[in-house]
Amino acid sequence: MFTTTKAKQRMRRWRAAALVLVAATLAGPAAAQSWGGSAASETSMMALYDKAKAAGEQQIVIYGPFSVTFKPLWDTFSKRFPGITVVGTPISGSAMIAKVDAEVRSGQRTVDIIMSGITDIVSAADLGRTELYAPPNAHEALLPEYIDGKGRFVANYAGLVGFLYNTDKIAEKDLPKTLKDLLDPRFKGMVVDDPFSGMLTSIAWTQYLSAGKIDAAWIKAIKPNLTVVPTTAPYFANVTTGAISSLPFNSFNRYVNLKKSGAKVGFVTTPGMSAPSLNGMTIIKSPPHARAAELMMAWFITPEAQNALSAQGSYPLARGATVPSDWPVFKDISAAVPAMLPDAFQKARAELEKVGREAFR
Amino acid sequence: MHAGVPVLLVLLALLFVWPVVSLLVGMFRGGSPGEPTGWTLQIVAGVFGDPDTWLAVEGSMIYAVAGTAFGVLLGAFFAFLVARTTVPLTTWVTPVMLLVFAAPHVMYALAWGLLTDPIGGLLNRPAQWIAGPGAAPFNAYSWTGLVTIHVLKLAAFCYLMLLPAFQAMNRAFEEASLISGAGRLQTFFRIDLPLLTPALFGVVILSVVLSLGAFDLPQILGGLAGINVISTRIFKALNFSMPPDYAAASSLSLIMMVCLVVLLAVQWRLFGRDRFVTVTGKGYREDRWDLGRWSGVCSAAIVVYALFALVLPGVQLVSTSLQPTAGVNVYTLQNYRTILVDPLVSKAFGITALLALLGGLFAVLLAAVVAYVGRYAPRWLEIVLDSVGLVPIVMPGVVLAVALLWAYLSIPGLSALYGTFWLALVGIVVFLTPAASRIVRGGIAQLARELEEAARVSGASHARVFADVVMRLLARTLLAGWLVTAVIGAGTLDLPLLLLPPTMPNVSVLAYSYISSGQPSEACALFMVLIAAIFAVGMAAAVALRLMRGARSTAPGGGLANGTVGRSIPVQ
Repeated sequence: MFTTTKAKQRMRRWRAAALVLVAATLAGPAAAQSWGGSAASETSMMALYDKAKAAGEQQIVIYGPFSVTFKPLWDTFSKRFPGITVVGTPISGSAMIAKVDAEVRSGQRTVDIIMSGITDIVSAADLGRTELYAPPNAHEALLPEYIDGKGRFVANYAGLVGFLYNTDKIAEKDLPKTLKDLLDPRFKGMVVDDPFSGMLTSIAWTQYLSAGKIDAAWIKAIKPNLTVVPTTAPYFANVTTGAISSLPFNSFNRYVNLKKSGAKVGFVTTPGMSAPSLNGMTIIKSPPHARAAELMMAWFITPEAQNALSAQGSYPLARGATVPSDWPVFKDISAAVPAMLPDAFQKARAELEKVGREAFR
Repeated sequence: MHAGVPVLLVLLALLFVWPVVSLLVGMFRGGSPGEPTGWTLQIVAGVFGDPDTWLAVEGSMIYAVAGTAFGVLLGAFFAFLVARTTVPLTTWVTPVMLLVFAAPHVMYALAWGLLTDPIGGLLNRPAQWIAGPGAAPFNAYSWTGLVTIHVLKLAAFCYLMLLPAFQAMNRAFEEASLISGAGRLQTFFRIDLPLLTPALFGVVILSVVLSLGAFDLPQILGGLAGINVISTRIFKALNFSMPPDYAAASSLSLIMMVCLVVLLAVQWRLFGRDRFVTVTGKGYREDRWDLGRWSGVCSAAIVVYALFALVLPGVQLVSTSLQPTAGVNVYTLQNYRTILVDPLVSKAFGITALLALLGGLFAVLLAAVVAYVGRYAPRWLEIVLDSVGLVPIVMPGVVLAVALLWAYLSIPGLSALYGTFWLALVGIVVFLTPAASRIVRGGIAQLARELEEAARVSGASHARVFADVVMRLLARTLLAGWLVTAVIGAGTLDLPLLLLPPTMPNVSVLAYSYISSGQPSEACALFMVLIAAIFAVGMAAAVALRLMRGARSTAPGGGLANGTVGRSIPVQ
């Protein structure tokens, strides 16, 4: 398998980070943990709330792929801070950047917060569209790795990309145990988004490659088994009916929500078969509801918000937050395929382009 | 030349030409529109040197030509039945077409994907009862499936565009043909069809260009079949790179522009002025044909079309809207409860109605003014005016949305409107005008100038002639145009997504939110409510029109039935 020294170093670094995170996670919620994590944290948030109210801020507008999925969280936020509602628009990538750009250039700003993959956030930051801000409770709630050193964002929840399948079509005994198993002709017809699009398959392959789990030969060998589509979003119904047996590089979040709806779907939890992805928040430059946006950034990493994330299919990143016991253990997943922050990810993505594009042609 | 013409030209240039030109210029510059970057030919060369581009062109051509050929034929067939025959069930055709047309492509694709699902699809189940579990004769994820579904949807568009032209046909020409010894079929092909060519060709142009730009059906149904078209290449250019590759997207749009220019050139070469007049002041009649024993066959065709184009996908969508997630056969009203308690939903319906009705109205009025000015302008100006109104159609929705966004942001005054309803309305008018202009142009081409000249001789001003003669004779065409464009406006996603603020979505934007958040069943529920609303409004309008007609028929001298244009300007 393709492995570089840098990749090994990164792996070791992230394994260590993941162990700390999981140790914290396994410790469980503190017995007397309050909604805000600590009295100091709650005091600072109530001060932000008072400022937001005094400024007449009654709304927070969030752009990001899960900004509508997370509506139950926004309802909790509005209960905690009456008078401030949250409106989500689930756009991401280039559409989001175009919209944010237009708002900044016209001076007619609507959005307050971008909540998306770290690469989206860094793209917006690189264009000068975001504020430098870290919430006052960031160091208390998060590992230092999740607070951007330049102040551009905080990583505050995570996801998994992995093998989503129909349980009627693939029996448990026939499930792939390793990425190499996916090369078997019996998995022919797996549906994936373009591996070089920046979407889920790109995210997974970038990290697999960086972790030494795949190489050019694997990329070349898997191609006959794949049906490549522009995006897999329209095909979840086909997996539910069984017309499509599997989406091998898809989101755990979708799996959780499909399962909740009664769909006969499963998700392979074997370490090495899934890749973690980090997501975060940033505040747009000169937002219309600046104090309320800061309040949201702070609240999202409190136990109240982080413990509610699993109901929406996402992993919390704050210390002490918990997930259901039957979920894949984030520590094990991260130990096999480490999560990556933007700089490392960009380099690894370039490596995928170099190694993979020709092999996949 | 009238003093208002230069003002009109400036307005058209500002609204229609400038956004598209700036984006086309962007083909030779990297970066986002409006950003100061250097000139380059690399992007265009890269796009057109890529063999995948030509594969996509081939796919798009097959899709557009096959779809247009069958779609126009089917639409014209039904328009003929409704406008010119006494075939039973024709009163149901317009509501059916309206609903088929109003169904968003993404929902239509979702419905057909599930209908032809090889495991439990409604259409494949009978075959499985007979031939066993493996039988799946229907497959939407194939060339045949994709084109068939496209034709079903496009036929509704063609029908709505062509109906006014068929209704405006003068029966006197047919009578002359029949009296001269020609048969009915011969009369249809030698009299009716040639007279309808401007309208038919206008619909062909729109259908080809719309098919080339079609995205949802090729992406969803064609994606699994490995079918590549230009629009999916554009999607990749805009979504697979950060920042989006606008230059590549514009370069790909150039293919559509070339097609449009060629088709327009053919249109202008073949169809001159005043050769297709059917509405004259002399004995204008619109009697209908009795098709005799063929009536039953035609009624059966209506039933079959309604079944496949509306009833089956409709049943599938209703079924999906009642499922917790698409494909899970458990039924609940939870999706409807969820959307009805969302405070944004009622707001979205209001925004959708306003945007659709005002956008459609302004687009049709603008198209009528442009067509009327062109009618009396020098030939070159007529061609310019006609072409300008079509310019936005060469850009697929999302590219046009970005072009408009960037162009308007740089206009002082308009940029202050960003994030308000009004800028979205301006964008929607621009977006709808190409369709409106084809409908209106087809109608105006059928009007004899003698009617306007009579009014002019009687001392009426241009404005008076326009308002009292042209607009009234075109009333049906304009109403049909308004209806069609309003329905397009109600389902538009790309422009509102970029131009409306998130706190003020229309129904499409809200449904998109549900779909992209993995909640297609809730999106189905939302669209079922929208379809029900459109149906209710359509029925109310039909009842109101019927009542008005009833009242008018009892009033002496009113109406257009005999070619009169009102009591004030006698033309017979």
